[in-house]
Amino acid sequence: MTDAPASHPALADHQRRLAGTRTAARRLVARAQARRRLLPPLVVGSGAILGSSVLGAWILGQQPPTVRPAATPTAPSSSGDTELSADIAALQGLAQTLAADRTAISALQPAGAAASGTSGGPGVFLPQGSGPVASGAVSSGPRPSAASPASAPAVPTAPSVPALPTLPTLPAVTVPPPAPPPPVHTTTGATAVAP
Amino acid sequence: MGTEVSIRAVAPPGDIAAHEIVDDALAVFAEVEAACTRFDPSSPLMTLNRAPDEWGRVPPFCYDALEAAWQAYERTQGRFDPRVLADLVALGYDRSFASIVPDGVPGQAPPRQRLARQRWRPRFRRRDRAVLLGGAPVDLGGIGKGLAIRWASTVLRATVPDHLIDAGGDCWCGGRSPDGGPWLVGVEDPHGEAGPRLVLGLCNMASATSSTRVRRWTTGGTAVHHLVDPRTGLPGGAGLSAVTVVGADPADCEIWSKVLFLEGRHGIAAEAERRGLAAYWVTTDGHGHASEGLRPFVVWSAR
Repeated sequence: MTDAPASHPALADHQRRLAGTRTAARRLVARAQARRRLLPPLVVGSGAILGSSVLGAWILGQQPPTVRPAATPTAPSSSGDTELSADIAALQGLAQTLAADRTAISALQPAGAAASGTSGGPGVFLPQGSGPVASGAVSSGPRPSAASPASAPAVPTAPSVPALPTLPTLPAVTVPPPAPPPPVHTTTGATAVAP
Repeated sequence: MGTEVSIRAVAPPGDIAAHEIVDDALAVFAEVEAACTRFDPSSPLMTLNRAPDEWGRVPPFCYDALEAAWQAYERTQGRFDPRVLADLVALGYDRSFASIVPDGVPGQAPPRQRLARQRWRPRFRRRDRAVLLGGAPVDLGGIGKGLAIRWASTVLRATVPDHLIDAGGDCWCGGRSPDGGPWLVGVEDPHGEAGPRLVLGLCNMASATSSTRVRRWTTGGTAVHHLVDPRTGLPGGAGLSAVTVVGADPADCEIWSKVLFLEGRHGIAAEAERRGLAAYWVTTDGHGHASEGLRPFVVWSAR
């Protein structure tokens, strides 16, 4: 075979166009990969925020919003390993936070039980079934069911407040009528005119 | 005076002297009435009124009443002025009140404010009981009743110190009541409510009330009453229905109850406190108020 003839100008132009097309294709693929790498960590972070708000919402006796599981990144690239590590670290932090909250709730349980067991004691007054704190914080409020992430710990149910004893009926207070005027010897004022 | 007079004296049953002295006290009222009435054209006062620029001799009661009226004029800086007679006549009160047509006479002009009068300067000559009125006729109705009570009490005091004189709501409570306590005087409601608004306990004290409850009528389509303000010639005491004053002299109580009434509801409290008067007043909306000086006499209050 003979050496290829010297580059034909038309062939050279074609090669340059192919090279340009390949370059453009590589850029497009790279952008798509970068987009996939970036999106999943945003979703995970959002989930972590919602998870912490769920706990607060339950304490306040409100219905928590439903939290979707974090989307799994597809085809993580080698550069995404670092991001995955960061995600794992964030989840670990979330687990620690939840554990601390669970400890705090457990600590509150004896106080609640003591309060309900000594209703009517000094300084303890829990109106039954009224008030956001009384119904949400102590009595059994609505619990998040399938909303919590799998890592969310179960929060123990606080004991309900027993009914307060009925106060005895106070005796009716009779207000004495005003004293009638004493009999007078005469009057002053609008006395009739004599004809 | 146009009022009923009653005297109650505390005396043993069958005490003839007490009965006679009560009759003498009642006669005082008759003599004062005869000398000082303006509804009898032949009375000494009306004779004098017909010639107010000339000297005229009058009976003792009329002389003393005229002199007391002038002293009251001076003490009240003209708030008590017997020259309101002309204003009362202009308003239609030109006859005894029982003869007044309550709804007015057709054709009457509505009352109008007049110009201020000059200072009243009557002159008195005691040696012959002669008086020069100083140019204007006068009305002693406002002070004559109180003076009659004062003089009647003087008659009673030596024989029956415990007595009660009531002349149309003006009272003198001499000594003690029959049960040994103070005489109890009920202050009537000027708006006609049953029962007293206050009960006062009085010993050797007088009370008088100026009220618009009875002596009121219509003239020229306007409701008027007999408590005329000497500064305007028109009925005064805006916002007030009645004023009661307690004091040591019945004539003074009569004078000050009228003067306080003319202050109206906005000025009466300050005037009563400034002069240290024991007063109780009722506003036209039915509220009662008492000055500090009255509180020692109040034994019962409705509100």
